[in-house]
Amino acid sequence: MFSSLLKYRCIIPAVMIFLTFGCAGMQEQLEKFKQKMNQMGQINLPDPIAVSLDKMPEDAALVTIAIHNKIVMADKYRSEKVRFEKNIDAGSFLIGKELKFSGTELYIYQTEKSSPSEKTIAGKINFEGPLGRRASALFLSRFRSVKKNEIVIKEARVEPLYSTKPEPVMFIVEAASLPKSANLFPDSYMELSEFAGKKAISPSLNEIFAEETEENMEYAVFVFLLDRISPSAKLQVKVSTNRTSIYGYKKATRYLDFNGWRVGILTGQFSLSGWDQAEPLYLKAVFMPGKEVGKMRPSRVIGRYAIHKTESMKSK
Amino acid sequence: MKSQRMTVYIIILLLPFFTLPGIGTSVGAENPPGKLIRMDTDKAPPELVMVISAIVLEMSGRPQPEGDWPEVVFSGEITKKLREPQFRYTGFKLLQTIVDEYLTPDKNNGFARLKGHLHFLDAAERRTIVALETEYKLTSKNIMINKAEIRPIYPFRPELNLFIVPAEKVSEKDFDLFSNNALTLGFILNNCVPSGKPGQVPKGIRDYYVFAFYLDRLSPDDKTELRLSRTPDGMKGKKLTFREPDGIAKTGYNEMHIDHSGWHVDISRCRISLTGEKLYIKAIFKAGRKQNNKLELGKPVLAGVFNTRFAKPVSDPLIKKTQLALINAGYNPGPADGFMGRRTHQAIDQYKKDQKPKAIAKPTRDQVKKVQSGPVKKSDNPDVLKVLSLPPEQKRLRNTLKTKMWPNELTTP
Repeated sequence: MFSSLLKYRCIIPAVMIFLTFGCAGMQEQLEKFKQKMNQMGQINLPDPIAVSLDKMPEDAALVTIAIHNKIVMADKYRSEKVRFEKNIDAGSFLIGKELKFSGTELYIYQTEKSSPSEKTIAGKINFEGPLGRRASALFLSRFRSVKKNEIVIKEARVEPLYSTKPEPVMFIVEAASLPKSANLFPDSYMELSEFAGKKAISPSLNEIFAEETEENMEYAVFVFLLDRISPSAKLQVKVSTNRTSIYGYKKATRYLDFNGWRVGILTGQFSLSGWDQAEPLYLKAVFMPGKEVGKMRPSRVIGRYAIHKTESMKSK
Repeated sequence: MKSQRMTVYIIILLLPFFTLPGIGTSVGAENPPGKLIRMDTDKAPPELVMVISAIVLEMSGRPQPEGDWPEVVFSGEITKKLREPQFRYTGFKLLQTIVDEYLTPDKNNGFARLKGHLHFLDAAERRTIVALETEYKLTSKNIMINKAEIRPIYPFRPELNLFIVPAEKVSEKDFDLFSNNALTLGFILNNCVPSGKPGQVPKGIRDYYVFAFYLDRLSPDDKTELRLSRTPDGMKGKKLTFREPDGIAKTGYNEMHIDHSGWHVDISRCRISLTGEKLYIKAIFKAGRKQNNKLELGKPVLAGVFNTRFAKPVSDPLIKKTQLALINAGYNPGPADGFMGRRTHQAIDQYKKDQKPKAIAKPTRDQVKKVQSGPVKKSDNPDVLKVLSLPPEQKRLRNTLKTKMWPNELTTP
């Protein structure tokens, strides 16, 4: 048997080298491909040169505050040092009154070579609401310093920065505790999240397993995205017994859009204790980024919730 | 009649002495309002310490402290007078505060007044003094500063350090660094000839760059110059010329003066031996027009004399004078030989300690507490620069909702 292999004695070392080094190369390629896949559907911002107002150059901080004031349409903190040469349409940003300044980052701070008093800055302003709702605005501004420390903003552009990694939160509410008519539902994101949160069942295992004989009941599942997403982005709330796939039952889901903050409401009959269920049931929030990320917009699961645990899961 | 007239005249003559403010007042233990008092570190009102801290922060362009501090508010546009157009005191530490005049809160308007000097120092030992004049009021909500003005005080005789760098260590690219004071100092320290180490001094006649690094902040119209002389006395000497790295002296470009917001660095080039004939490099300072020193207008003074034989330090006439003065004052600086030795240093330090003006350091926790227990309370004015902080009821709601959120298996470990 081994004598028949002797005729391949020249080839065997080559095969061994290929298996050892060739596979290592393939592994590297695979890693690179995985990294690329992970980057797809995301907007990568450059490294910030300053991560708060007090770490920015003073003129950049003043311009950032002035742009912030335009976004929130507040004259309260208007600085006399800064004025706009022409009005900017930042009011269309529509962030809502309850969102407040939560931080800022500066990415570009450039001085014009021909005229040192002229500068260009680009950065991001973050906003956050009381219940964790978030939004970001990208801005680009060209300004010049004039006499007596005054700054004149020649140009400013503000655009919403939509999240490509939105954070979902899920509440489960008994259908019986919901209003009978759709008109009686709160009509703002803030009120709806407060309403659902207050009426929701706690996911604490002790509470659920206390009622081991519980039969299937009618529930409403609310999935709120805390981050603002693009109008072309898509949120889907699905139910499935498969833990990893992006597919599942979605026909019973309704969606609401509050200026970019999405809410998915799924209604159905199931048992939270999963007493006599053979397989675990998962509720998944699937997200597809908007057109701003490019042509490749792969859907991915951003939230997975085990709405009941089976015996096998419990033993784990 | 005559005696009545005389009485009227005497009253008229004496009247101004009674009405003029300040005359006849005395220092009281209770510091009555509206009276001029001597300031003492221990007796300094804590709110005054906070006012000075707020002014220094404003001068540096840094935000006012948050948290448990009482709010210090600047009325109107007075913060503009606290910020120099091209310079911030960012890297500088407040070394000491000298209070020249302090007027306790006036009975009528409640304003306290202060005149003083702020001494600053940075990591490279650069120094500056600023005259401060302020007026503030203690209200039930905050400390309101109604007036605050600063004015830099320029020295009569600035101090400087001299460094010698071999010409071959300075390339054309290095000149780009010299626009920044810290980078210039960093470059010099990395490349200069070490003083007091004879073994490391290059031998023979060579080309050197001489860097005069001024430690005091100079007025914009002050002038400095470097001269090379055979004698340490007087101000005579050959003006040092600056040449480009290629060695060619350019017409009309004999010296290089770099002004880093008032801190001068003079660069000149010379061909000398650091081990041969003893020569002296003299730093000449010509005071410009100063508000506080009109007598010395334009008079050149010797700011420093440096021996080119680095291995042996030179006797400095100024140090000799200082040593004599210290001996006369009862200190022990050692022999009056004009050399800055250990004993001279110790004597100067001791003299400074003894003569130390009444200084105010940073406010202590106790001082902060003292103010807070008084009429001053932290204002609850919202500020755009403050990051979102939730009111208590919303915090409670947020915490309640968190307990109702189902765990996301993708983010929960």
